[in-house]
Amino acid sequence: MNGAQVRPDEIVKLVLQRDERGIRSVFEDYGPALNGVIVRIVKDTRVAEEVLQDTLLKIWNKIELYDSSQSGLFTWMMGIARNTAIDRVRLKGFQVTQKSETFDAPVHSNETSETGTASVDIEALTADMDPKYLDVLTKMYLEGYSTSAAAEELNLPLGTVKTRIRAALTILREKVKNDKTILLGSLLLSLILLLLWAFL
Amino acid sequence: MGISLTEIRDAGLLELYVIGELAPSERGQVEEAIRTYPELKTELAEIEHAFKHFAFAKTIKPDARVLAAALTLIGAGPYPPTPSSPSGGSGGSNLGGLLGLLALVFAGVAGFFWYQGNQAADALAAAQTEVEDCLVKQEASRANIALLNDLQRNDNQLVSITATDKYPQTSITIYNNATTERNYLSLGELPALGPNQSYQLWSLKADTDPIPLTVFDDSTRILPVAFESGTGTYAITIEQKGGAQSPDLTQLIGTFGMTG
Repeated sequence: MNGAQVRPDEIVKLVLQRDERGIRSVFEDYGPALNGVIVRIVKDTRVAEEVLQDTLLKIWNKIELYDSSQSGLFTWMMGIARNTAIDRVRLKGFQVTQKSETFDAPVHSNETSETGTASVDIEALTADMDPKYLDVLTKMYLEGYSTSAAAEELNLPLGTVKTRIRAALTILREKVKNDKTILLGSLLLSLILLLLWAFL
Repeated sequence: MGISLTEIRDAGLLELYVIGELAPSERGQVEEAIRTYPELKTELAEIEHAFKHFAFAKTIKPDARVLAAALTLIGAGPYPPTPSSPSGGSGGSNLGGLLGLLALVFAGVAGFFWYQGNQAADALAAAQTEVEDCLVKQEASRANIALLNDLQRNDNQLVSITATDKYPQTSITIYNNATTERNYLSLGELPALGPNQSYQLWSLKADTDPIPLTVFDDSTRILPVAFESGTGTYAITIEQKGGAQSPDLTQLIGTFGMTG
């Protein structure tokens, strides 16, 4: 659903005012992204629903602790979602460090967008990325592996894991910058065409 | 003296900082470096943005029932409709001006068509919002009814907490149902938590180590918690945030003795 979206600062304001529309906006604008990580960590859609619910409640109850000078709202919320999911896995007696089978979750690429993150194409985003970087990025960011757990799982030295996550992010950052440039270029072209159309 | 800018970058500490994967000492070093080198803030924002893009490329749509249940636990009540358009300006300030100019040009040239189209889009968005509101309210009502049904079952076992001498004011009731295998806690008075503490529920069985169950805080009045088959006694302790694998008995709040 690509309906109306609320800016992060407005969401924070709404939740601080105990206005439930804030949590609804969190769910609608960020829920799919948070859930994508939660499902991959807990590997069980029913448990994932509980974790997402807990995450929403924690966001509601801990919003006073959010400091926009420290991080963006999404990063803060993702931290809560990841930690809640990892705690749930740990309490259930699983080990995130265990060799894990591939989890075929129904991924909905491009289904959602948020301010500044419109229509993300995973193929384009990771097309130039060496699989060895993508592996580390996926394990650590999407599947909740710690640095040492990722190193063990991928049979790599700790330092290599850190180097690879940095390399993966460097590629991603470049890609995101290029996407912005392409978007700006498209808008400028549209503007020129519109102006020509208006004058002719 | 703290860590250098190059060391921070080369060691991938900024990336790990954003994921929350740094040890407290490393975290402190990075935060100090951010204060010392303001340019790191921009870099950090770019890293956050890149991670966010990656997460948004890997979305999994959650069930609407999750929102309904969360709203119910938050406190129920009528939910004001989501605004049909974001109030205030747009998120990207660079694009904002450009889009504004584009809109002006477009409005000047094709104002009439724009007006008509916009009206139709607004009407459609309003209708869509109303439908979504109805669906969320319906789900919230269903979740409320399900919760009430669970709490009112005749075969529920209601047990009040036997508080320890350390926390005599504690008042919590457990709604335990062996048929549905569901537990709820009705939270009354609870001892205050420190900033890095949580409450944790435990299942105690004969000849077995305590089994760690739900970790919670006092943000809701009725809380669904884990059910553990064959539990003789449930117990609640105060633990470090996020819970523990074995209980800190010096921080035992109380127990619920179960029968049958």
